[in-house]
Amino acid sequence: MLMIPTLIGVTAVIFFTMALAPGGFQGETAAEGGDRTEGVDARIRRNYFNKRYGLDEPAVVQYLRWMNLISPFGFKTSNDVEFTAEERAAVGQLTADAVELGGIGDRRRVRDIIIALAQYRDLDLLATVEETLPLFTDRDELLAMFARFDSDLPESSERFATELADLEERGNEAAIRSFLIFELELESGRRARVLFERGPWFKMPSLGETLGREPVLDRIKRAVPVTLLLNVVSVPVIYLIAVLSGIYAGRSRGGKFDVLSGLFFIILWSLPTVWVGVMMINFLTNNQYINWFPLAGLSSPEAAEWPMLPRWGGEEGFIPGWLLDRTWHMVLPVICLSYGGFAVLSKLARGSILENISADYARTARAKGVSDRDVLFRHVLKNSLLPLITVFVSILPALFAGSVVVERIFSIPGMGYMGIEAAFAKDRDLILGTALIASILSLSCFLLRDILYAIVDPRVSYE
Amino acid sequence: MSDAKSPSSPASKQTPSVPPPGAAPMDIANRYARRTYMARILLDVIGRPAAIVGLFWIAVMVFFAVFGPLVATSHALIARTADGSLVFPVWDYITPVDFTLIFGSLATLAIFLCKLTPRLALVVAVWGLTTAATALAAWTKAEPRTIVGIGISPVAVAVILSVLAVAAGGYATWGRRTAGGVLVVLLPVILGFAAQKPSVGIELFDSSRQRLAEGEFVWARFAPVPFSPQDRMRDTREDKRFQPPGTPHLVLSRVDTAGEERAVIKEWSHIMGTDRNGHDLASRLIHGSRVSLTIGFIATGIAVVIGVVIGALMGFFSGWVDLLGMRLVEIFGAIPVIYLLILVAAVYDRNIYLMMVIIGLTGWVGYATFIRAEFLKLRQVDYVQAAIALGVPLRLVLMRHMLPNGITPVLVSASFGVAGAILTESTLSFLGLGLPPGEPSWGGALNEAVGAGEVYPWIVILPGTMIFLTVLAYNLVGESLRDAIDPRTTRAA
Repeated sequence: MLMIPTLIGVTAVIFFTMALAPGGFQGETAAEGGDRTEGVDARIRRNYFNKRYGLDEPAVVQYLRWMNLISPFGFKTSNDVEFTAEERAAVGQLTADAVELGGIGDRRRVRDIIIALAQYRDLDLLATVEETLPLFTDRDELLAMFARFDSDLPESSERFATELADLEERGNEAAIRSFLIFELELESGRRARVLFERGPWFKMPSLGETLGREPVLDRIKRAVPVTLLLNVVSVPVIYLIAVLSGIYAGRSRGGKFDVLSGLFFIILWSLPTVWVGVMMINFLTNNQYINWFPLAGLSSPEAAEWPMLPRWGGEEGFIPGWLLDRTWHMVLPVICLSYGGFAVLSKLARGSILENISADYARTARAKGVSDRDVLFRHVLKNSLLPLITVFVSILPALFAGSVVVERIFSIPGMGYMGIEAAFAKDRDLILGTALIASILSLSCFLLRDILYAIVDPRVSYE
Repeated sequence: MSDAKSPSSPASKQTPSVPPPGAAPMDIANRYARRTYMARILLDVIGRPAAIVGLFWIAVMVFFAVFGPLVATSHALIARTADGSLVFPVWDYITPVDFTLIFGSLATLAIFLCKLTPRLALVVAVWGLTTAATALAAWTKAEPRTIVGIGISPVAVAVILSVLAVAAGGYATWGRRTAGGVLVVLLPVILGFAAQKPSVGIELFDSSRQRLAEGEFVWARFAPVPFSPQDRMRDTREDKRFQPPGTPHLVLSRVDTAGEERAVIKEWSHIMGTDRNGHDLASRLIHGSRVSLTIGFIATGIAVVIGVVIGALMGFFSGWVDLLGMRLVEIFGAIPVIYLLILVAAVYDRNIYLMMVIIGLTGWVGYATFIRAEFLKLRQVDYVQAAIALGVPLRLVLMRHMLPNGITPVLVSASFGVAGAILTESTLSFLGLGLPPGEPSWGGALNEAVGAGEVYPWIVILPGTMIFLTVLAYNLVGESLRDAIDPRTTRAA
């Protein structure tokens, strides 16, 4: 249960690290995300982010808002209103109409705009649809609506009017419509302020939306399995090699193998993953040198249509199959991820075997005439592996960290790749969400470790 | 303080091998026994071949980090002009930071070589004063910047730090005439230097070469690597990008002699080739060593200080302090540092100091748990109980009696921590989230090997080798330290 305050602490650290940035989040975004850095456009854009993320409020309030958003228990806010089937249909109709009008761009934007408008004005969605539809053609009505909305951004509507007039003069219909849509979108962002719909109760936790208006949770749901797959495959590889070499090193203590493998593993451990990855990419996937492995991704583009297992014959000849293709793609990333773990684990395995091999029970067994081999494999090994089992949970967080680089180098769409993309795009919710999920993953690893400790070693109790 | 730590630590490791001045000749066993626990450990470490190799490489890197601006620069180190006077063109391009590092290191070395008595105090004083001088020199140029919401200039921070350092040095040297005298002599010298330092305008990398070519310099000595890391000037070739090692860099006379081709005055070669932008790779690697080493030292320094303080409090007081501390440990242990750094890179300006602070602030967990465990054991030990019973102030109990006996495991993990911080920095720079673009760093150089379209083996291999060797060096030292303090292995050996 102590996990919950810990988790809250983690969220606080992550959030305040971000919120305390000089100039705040929006300054950066306005400067680099927008086309123009100065003038009204930048100000509108900044305002948009201010409203969307509540950046004009104190950091603590922002934090509470974000906590409310991500926690499964809390106030239901206007950002996650459920819609009925008719409302959805109406929005769909509207979107279709709007697209037919041309110059609209993204359907999702239109839908968002209308939903936001409906929420803001406490109107029925159907009514809003009916009301909004003519706005795409009727200019005065739209201006009037903005006049009603706009209390804190006067220059927006002024500029809006002048630019609209300018566009109309030139008679560019498509441009006018996209301009309207842009204004409406800004408006929707500004109106997407949290409205507390009802009291604190259980709800679906949400991680917010990406800049492209896609729920962050969806993105993460797609990315996490990829990262987990990489890591889960790496763990047995690490174990197999580390335990084997640990056994032999422990057996021939001080011998050649012990010293050499120790040195070898410390060298492996010091090899930076970035460098190994880059070397692999450059020398093993390149036509100039050896082109054995695929360059990027987790599967070939055509692999989705392939059967699971390799198949010969047929008109296409040999088809590698989905499984083989996936394995082939994962060879280099998994090597990259796992070589660093050998060193730590084999040292642990060696130490644990040494400890047990000189223990009383092992000596007794040997005294009773059990062969060395049997002592090692039947008595010592079992007991020495116990601590190693629990270690695997604590190397998982390290693997997550390592997979950031590996995913980036091999262009694998996992958590790390997503996080870096988000950092470059300055996508606030996505960055926060990624960091949060990564923390939850490593926290649950700690929890699992503690449970495993208690299971494998009855002497440990948490009472 | 942390500034003072970096260059002195390799030197301080050598101190135990020097017999204390004035000590009567004794047999080795006796001398060995009289040393403190720490000194014995260090002596043991220095005797191990792996540690020697590691320390040697670290020393080489420290040398590059300190003297990089003199080892790899486009400007002539010394030149004689046509009218016969000697000039030092490189001096104009030594930044205040370079000056602090070079001067401070030389002074530290001198202090150790001349065996001036209150060594630590002198070293601290010298570093404090040089930092102060740097701050003074930078005073006019620096613009105040906003750090964490407070308008504060880096110069002010530097001044505060250096005043603290000088105060500490002065406190320790109080009443010692040697140190006082040295301080009095050094003060005007350094301040004078700082005042003389002209501000750097636009850096023209070709200026020395051209002056040599045009005969303005009769004779000039250039650095071993005669290119600055940002030197993108090309004298002859149109395209200097991704040139293989050994490509010559020709300097032509600007003046057409008798309508002929411009004469080749001198040629240097890019010994390690050039990178994507035509920078000399060797120069960038040499200058990158400073970034890596400072991040390693300072981030680990911050982490160790925080970890030791929190761990000591937790271990000594236990009870609710311990409980609270353990929660903090859990929180910071659960945060994936790399994701936090990605987040920081997204919202803050690219800044090496911020990176150090973040790595330091998240890395203290291990040290805290080590110290806590040691202190929990130590506070039951007789001599600590005796000290408490005697009414020794808490500060002294903690600092003088407990800390020196509990800090060795921290030392081990600190040397691994430096390696880890260097890895983190190079990883971030590799991802493009580290240093500002254009700054030389090993990770950044490695990044150029990706997506270049073609394989340039020197770009792939060389920067990675630097990271690898440095990390390996720290790991070797750490491993030796661990073996040295581990009673099981010492008995076996």
